[in-house]
Amino acid sequence: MRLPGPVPLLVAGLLAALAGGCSKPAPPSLPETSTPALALPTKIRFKTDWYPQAEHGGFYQAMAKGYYKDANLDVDILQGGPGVTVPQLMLSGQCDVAMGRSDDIIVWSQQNLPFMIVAVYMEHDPQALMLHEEDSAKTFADLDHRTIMLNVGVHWMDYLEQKYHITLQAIPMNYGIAQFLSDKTFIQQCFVTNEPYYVLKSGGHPRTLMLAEAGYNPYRVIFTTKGFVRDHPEAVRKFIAASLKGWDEFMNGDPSPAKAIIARRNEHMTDDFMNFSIKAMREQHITAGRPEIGERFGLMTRPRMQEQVDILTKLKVMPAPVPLDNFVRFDLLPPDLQASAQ
Amino acid sequence: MTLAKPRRRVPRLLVQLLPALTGVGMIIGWEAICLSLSADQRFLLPSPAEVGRAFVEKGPALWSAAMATGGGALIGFGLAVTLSFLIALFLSLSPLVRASFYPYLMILQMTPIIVIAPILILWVGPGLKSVVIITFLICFFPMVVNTTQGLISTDRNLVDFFRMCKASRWQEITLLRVPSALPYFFTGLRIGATLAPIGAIVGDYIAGNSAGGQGGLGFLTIIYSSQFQMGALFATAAVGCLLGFIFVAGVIALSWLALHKWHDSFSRSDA
Amino acid sequence: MTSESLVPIVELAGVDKRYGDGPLILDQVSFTAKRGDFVSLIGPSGCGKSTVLKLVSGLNPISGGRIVVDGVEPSKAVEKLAFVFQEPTLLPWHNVVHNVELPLRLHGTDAAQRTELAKRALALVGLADRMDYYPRQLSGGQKMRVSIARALSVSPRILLLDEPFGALDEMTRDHLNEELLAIRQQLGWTAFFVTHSVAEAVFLSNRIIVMSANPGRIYSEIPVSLAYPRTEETRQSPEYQKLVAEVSKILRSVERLKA
Repeated sequence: MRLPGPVPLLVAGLLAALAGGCSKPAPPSLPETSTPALALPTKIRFKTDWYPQAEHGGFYQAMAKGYYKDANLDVDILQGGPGVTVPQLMLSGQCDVAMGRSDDIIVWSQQNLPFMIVAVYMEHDPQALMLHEEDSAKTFADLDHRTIMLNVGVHWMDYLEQKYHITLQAIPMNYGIAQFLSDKTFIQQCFVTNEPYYVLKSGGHPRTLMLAEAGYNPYRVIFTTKGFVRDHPEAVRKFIAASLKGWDEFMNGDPSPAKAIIARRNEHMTDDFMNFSIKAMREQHITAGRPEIGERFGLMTRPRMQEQVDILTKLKVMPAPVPLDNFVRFDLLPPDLQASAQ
Repeated sequence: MTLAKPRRRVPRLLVQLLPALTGVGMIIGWEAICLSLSADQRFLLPSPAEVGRAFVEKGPALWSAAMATGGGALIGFGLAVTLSFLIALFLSLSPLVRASFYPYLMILQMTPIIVIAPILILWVGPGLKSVVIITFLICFFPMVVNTTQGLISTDRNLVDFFRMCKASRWQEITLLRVPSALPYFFTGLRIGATLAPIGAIVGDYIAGNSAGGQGGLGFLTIIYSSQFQMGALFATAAVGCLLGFIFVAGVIALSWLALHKWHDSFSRSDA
Repeated sequence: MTSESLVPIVELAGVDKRYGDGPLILDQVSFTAKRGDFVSLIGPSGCGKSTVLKLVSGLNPISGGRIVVDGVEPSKAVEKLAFVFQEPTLLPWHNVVHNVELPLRLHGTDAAQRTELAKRALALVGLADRMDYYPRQLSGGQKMRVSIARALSVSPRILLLDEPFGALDEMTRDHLNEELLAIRQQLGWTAFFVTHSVAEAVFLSNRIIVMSANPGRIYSEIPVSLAYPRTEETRQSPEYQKLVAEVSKILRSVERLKA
């Protein structure tokens, strides 16, 4: 039963404006026509989760080398930052595609939010706990009754508590390292590719415990809304292909075009820092995973997605498991990756 | 002799029920809006049923968060009341004192809490201490201003009378200025009471760990918003609102106790 | 008249008053009041009559000359003086009996004794049954009576009253004038009374001092020899009315001086 138009539009528009700031959402791109040669480039606003950094490198590489343009895509890479809520922005129409983590999207999709994962750009999330070298805790099990600064509401905290039978205290994240530097017992959430660099540069001695090693192992994904995929499947497919190509080059070839853009857009980003991050991504097998267990860059498999659904269900984060087809599509991947998806 | 017809008055009971009736009407309207949203838009506005369900499911979490935030707010508010009173007494001593210190109080008030908070956390550490200080900073200034105003606005004639009786400075303050300032004091308190729960929620949003145990309402806000649990978010807001009401009601009760016998603010129209 | 009533109780000799570097408010004011006198001060606005009262009470210091109150200077005579203001100036947060007790409390009298003294003072003004009322429940006249009871509670030797009945209606005023004299009959204090009403001054006092303004000086002193006790009937007497006319005439000429 629908009420006449104005009321729901007013309410939704009002809430969308509130959620996404006061800028008008861009008019939706035209659906794809049947004659590619005459089609206008499809506009894609791609939202990242932080200021430009090496962890976004592949996308900037694709942009720098013109891979998006070659695919007839007009891509804007929009930077994120602290407090920027990517999913809300996507739902209110401020961006079309974004980067995220598979565990979040699984949970949101269980709440009937219309997100869809379309590709993987990092085999393992670089999330870890950062401690001081001299901290008495050596493994996750040693963290009982410790306080961790983290993004409150992350599921891996419950996961660690359940798995190791420990109790943890949380304090809200403030994205700085001042407290870490002044308190030798401080523990905070970090990216292995990021915060430790600052600590080292300030003379500290950090040590990291990767969450993936504890068995909490989400993908870093490219995702969008079901509506956008429905309207622009080819554009999404080409975006994925171009992005994965950019990443391949960024990690295995010459990343300087990407670095140039990043440095230009983020004045705090130094070449030294970017090299540190790239090195960490390689050493910790973040982007390409471990070949010895069958992982490779861009690989997205049903079993691994299902594993994450099961973990979240067991954590009682979701009352019931959500079917994979609700939140992930494998058919937009490049052909060689599709074959391995099963 | 015929009696005049009594005027038709709206029955008392009906008048008291009016807000409840309006409330029911609003909930029905709300549900109607939700039903009119398409499946894609449904996430924007949780229905009354969803919010109700969230209250039930998250009841224990909401309760302990409310206790944590309420506790932090109470301590911060109590501190603010005590210190604001003492500082107001100090400021009321002379215009020179006021001229010397007022500007700095104003600077403290003007500095945005959002900027003070991270500095505070670095000095004091996250947790209850920071929450209490943030709450304190938010409600302190209006209380100082109002109480000081009350202490210096004492009726000139009464002051002369006390001087004529050769009352000591202490007697003048305790027997004249302070009681005379009570209405102003309670005005400041009422303003502070609306601010204190907000301060505590902002406090544990930023500094977390509200009472050393589970987080407070601000903490829950982060969790529910990051997890997109809209129903729970609305429920959290409602609890915060209720907390505000309780604080203000408490202050009104206190001010009734202190003032109802003698102050015009509590006079009945037919007294 | 006993010899006691001839004893001077308040003496002003050559009193000057100015506030800071301001103009002279009072210029060489001199007079002596004897025990039992009822002295009224009248004069045009700004002649300093209220100031005289404040100087006698010790609230403000004099700038020149001398004041002696019952043998000592005003600031040391606190226990012997009581002041009744233009406004009742009651503490709204105390009930009637606590208001009346207040001066005793400030002096340090213990609770039982001061309640007793307060009750007696209230009985004198006829408000014993309103002990537990709060000021906002009283009429203007009742509040003024409480203010008088408060002044009486310390058993003063000298009562200073600054236009206490000015804000009341004529009937209440006349009534309170009579009550005041009746209480004085019982207790025998000396009174200084500032008023704008010639009729009131004549009714109450045995001496009227007329002051002129800019600066304040004593213009004239008029004895009032009507017999006490004075009642409603006194107001009807030709003597009284003659005096009122005379004093009014003098007052008018003082006011013309100002122009």
